[in-house]
Amino acid sequence: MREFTHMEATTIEEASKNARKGNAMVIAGGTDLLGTLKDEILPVYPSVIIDLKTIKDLDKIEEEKDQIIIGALAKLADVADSQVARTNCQALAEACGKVASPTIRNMATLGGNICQMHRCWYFRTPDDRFHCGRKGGNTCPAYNGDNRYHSIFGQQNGCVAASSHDTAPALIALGAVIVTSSRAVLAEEFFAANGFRSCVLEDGEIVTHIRVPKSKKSVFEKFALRKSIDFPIVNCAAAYGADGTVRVAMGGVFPAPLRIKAAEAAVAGGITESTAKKAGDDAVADCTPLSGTAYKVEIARTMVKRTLLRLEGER
Amino acid sequence: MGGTSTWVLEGTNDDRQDFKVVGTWNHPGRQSWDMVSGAAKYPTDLYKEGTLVAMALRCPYGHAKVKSLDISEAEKLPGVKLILTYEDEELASMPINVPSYYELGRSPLLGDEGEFEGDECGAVVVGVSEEVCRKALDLIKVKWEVLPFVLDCREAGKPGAPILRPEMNPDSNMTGNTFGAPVKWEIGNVEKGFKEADYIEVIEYGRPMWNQFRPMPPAYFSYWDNDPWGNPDGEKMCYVTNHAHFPSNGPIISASMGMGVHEDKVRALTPYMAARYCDFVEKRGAQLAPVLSRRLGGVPVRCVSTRRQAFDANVPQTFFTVRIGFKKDGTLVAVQSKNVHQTGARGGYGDKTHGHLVLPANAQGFKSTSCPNIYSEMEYYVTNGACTTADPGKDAWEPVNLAFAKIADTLKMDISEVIMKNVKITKPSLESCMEAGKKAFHWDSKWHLPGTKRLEDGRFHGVACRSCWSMTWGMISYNINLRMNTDGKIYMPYSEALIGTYWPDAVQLVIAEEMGMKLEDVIVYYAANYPNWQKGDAADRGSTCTWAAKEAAVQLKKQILETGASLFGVTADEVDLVDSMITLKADPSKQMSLVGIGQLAVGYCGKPKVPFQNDVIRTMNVDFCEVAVDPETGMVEILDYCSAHDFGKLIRPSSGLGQLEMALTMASGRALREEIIWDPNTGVLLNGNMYDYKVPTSLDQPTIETVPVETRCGGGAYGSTGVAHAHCDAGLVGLAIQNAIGKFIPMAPYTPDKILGAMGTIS
Repeated sequence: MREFTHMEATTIEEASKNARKGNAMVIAGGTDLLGTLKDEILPVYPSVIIDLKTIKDLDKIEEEKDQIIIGALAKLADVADSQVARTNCQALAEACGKVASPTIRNMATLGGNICQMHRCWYFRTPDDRFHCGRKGGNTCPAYNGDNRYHSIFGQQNGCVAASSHDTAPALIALGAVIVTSSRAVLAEEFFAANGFRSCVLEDGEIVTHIRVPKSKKSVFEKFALRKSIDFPIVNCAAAYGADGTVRVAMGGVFPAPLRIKAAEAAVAGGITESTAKKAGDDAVADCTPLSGTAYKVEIARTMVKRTLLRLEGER
Repeated sequence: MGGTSTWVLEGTNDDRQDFKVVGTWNHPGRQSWDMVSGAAKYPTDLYKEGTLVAMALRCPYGHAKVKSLDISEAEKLPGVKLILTYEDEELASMPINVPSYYELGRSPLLGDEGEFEGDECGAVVVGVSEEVCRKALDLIKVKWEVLPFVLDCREAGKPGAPILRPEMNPDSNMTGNTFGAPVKWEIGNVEKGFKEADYIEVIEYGRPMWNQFRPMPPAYFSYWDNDPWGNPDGEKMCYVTNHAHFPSNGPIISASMGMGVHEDKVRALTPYMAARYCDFVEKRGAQLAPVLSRRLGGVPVRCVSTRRQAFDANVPQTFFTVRIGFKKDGTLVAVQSKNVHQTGARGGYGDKTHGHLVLPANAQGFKSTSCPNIYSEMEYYVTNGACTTADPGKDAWEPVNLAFAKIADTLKMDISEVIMKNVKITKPSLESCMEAGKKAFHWDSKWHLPGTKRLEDGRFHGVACRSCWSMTWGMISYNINLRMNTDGKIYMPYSEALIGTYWPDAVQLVIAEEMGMKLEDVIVYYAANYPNWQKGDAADRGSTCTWAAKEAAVQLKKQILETGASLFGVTADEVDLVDSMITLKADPSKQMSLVGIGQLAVGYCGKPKVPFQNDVIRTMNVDFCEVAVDPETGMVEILDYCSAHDFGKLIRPSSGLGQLEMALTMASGRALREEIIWDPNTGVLLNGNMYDYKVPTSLDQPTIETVPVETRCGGGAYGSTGVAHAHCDAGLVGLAIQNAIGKFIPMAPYTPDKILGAMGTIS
């Protein structure tokens, strides 16, 4: 890993101000960033790393009327174990509990998870072997390359990587709001292929906390090749909103996690075996799989169905 | 088919029945504490004041040649101490000593051609830190000539494929084979056999490249310094680490081989090396480090690689097409096998060395069946898919078991019956393993016809079993030196790098058993400067070296008893060694300590008469596997593994059974997830990290039941035999999947896309 200046921030304002200068990046748990730096994945190596962990009170998990407020620095393990979260936003607690491994969950933060960079192996190959569109190039090498873990819904901004955040579908299904140093963004509008970022954050913009509406019932399911460590092939969350409607979101199927309104419509009249199956079918009806992702369509179809059945079964 | 092994153990005391320490538990291994506590010093851990770092330029393309190289800017970078390029005469001449069987296709240690993406070529930089080296490498201006690449050995064999190593073979990508093994051979008359067959079927099997080095990237540390005992010739000694345990025969040979210096000028620094599978591949840093250090006056130099770069040595691809003919009763009568095998970027196993050392899977395993008509054809092709290591022995049984499964499938027979019907020698080993394994696995209640059973959750249920020989590696000699010191303890030095096979601990048990010593009075210790021939450094050799240890122990005990008897005033046959005491047989209360009776020593060198990979079956094993296959997602879960392994004699249960668990865990990863993946358009490695190269995690560990069988039919001490190699392949899981879904999948790993494809869910 190359040298950089390590700066300990004491306030969000200070961190945000410094993050706008030069080649600065922010670090929380560091489980994504340090590996990224070691492998020299970024087109420009940061000269300054601003540590957010020295900012107080950014790791709270609190109940506030009809919503849960979770600080960006709340560790994934803490969210997974939080009774407040498990009671009021079960899908998010489950998702946090299925990220990576116990060691990583004890370091990684919720804010970091939603801001982590894509796991596309072309994007992540060191030494800029693939100068893809996300790094300033003109092409997406995955499109005609080995894309077995990539999108089934086409490209976004020229990229066919698959979103890899486990917490994102849960946040979208729950209707969460991501609050940053400068604005509040609906979770379903927060994620995007945006340069090397996987979210809409701009230079100097820092996630401070997440507002999660309470849900009487929500669940999360993950499909990965291994039971630990792995990023999702497909993940899915479903949640009952305050009005009783069901919201469904999927990850691993597009550069951004998607809210699946077709699936929601299919179960608008209630979740049964047949409506859940129809929801799965409808969820993937508009898929445009790449050369290597046809199997993911079947997994996505199944995940939507099973997630909804589990939501109903545990209601 | 029902035959009985006629193998007779040679050597002394093969008929011993009573064991005091052999076969017992709770003997902490000498390596255990160091390894689990982090105290073990690996090459990455060693440090001396002034240590420099070396890194090589790596080829960024699937195959490319350096057209020009400008190091002037890199040399100016503060902290850079030395840059050598492929034009350096010494590097170009290395390795100095090349084994005679590398008759073709030799390359310099650091050449101008990158034979795969990530290959070390062009230049090597020495600097004060890794960061300086990386910056310097960035400053080297390289013009590359990008060359065509081939990643699949089947493609490499097609007419019109680009010739990758014209200096090795100007006409095609085909390379040689091991030790003159025939490329084509026939037993009986295959065409006649097929005419006699009631059924003829064709089976396909393929496996991808699997990674060898993990989880720790290798490093090599070397320095030159004065001989602490004097420098009679005025030349410094080379101190070096490496990762070789075979064929380098100890952790010093590689360096001496590379530089052409005598072995007595090279001394090893650590017995520990990174985890890896099997042998042969040694990274170039093993030879670069001492050369770079010598150029810099002997300062310590550590050659390092990143984790991704450590994916440059892999287990090779292999592909089978096997046509089988069999009778209505399941008797195999004809086999026609074609094997296309990958020899890696070097045209053979190994990195620094180049040439024709290949141990491919082939139709050898069918020789262990009673099939009278076998034709085997093998082709070996160089590719640009990294270096390759050996993967010997048990691969030969993959097509055999596939054939058995195909027969069972066609005739709706129980595969265990097909195995017993067709394997030539079944008594005592195979029969014992099959019986014990079936009972432990509850085979009779689990087995069913393919595609006929679903679990309550809707998943398909499948089981399979397969047989394999338990290898005893008898190709090489083993040298055991034993010494009784004045403290009355028995000492045995060894100098090989350790890869976690715990063979010194097994040897310690055998020596104690054979001599009548307390275990704590037998000291098996790492002696870096002990330039002996190897002992039991790999899994399958560990047991074989116990044979030599036993022979040496018998000799030393004889000397001790003769000495002790004279002190008692009796003859040697009137005394014995009991719990490290010379004991009068007629009156066991009369004992004499060994302390101070003198120094005695013996050496035993030789090898048991153990055939090397031939068709003689002595010890066998049978593995069983139970899977669940999700028809909607294609996900396979291994529910249960059971391994009935004939250890011959289980010497150290914790390591013996542990090897079974390790090997089956490895097999599960290879079966379900592991493969080296390159970008098809550039030849660049895509999954050179521990996320994308999917070795099993703890949660993926299947239930593994180990069933030790002891027939005393192996070639090691007391009839012991090898373990791990026999269980590392992926095929068994594929057979269980076939039993679940009724379809054979011709290529490992058995990932969801292939399962869904086989089931017709996706095209």
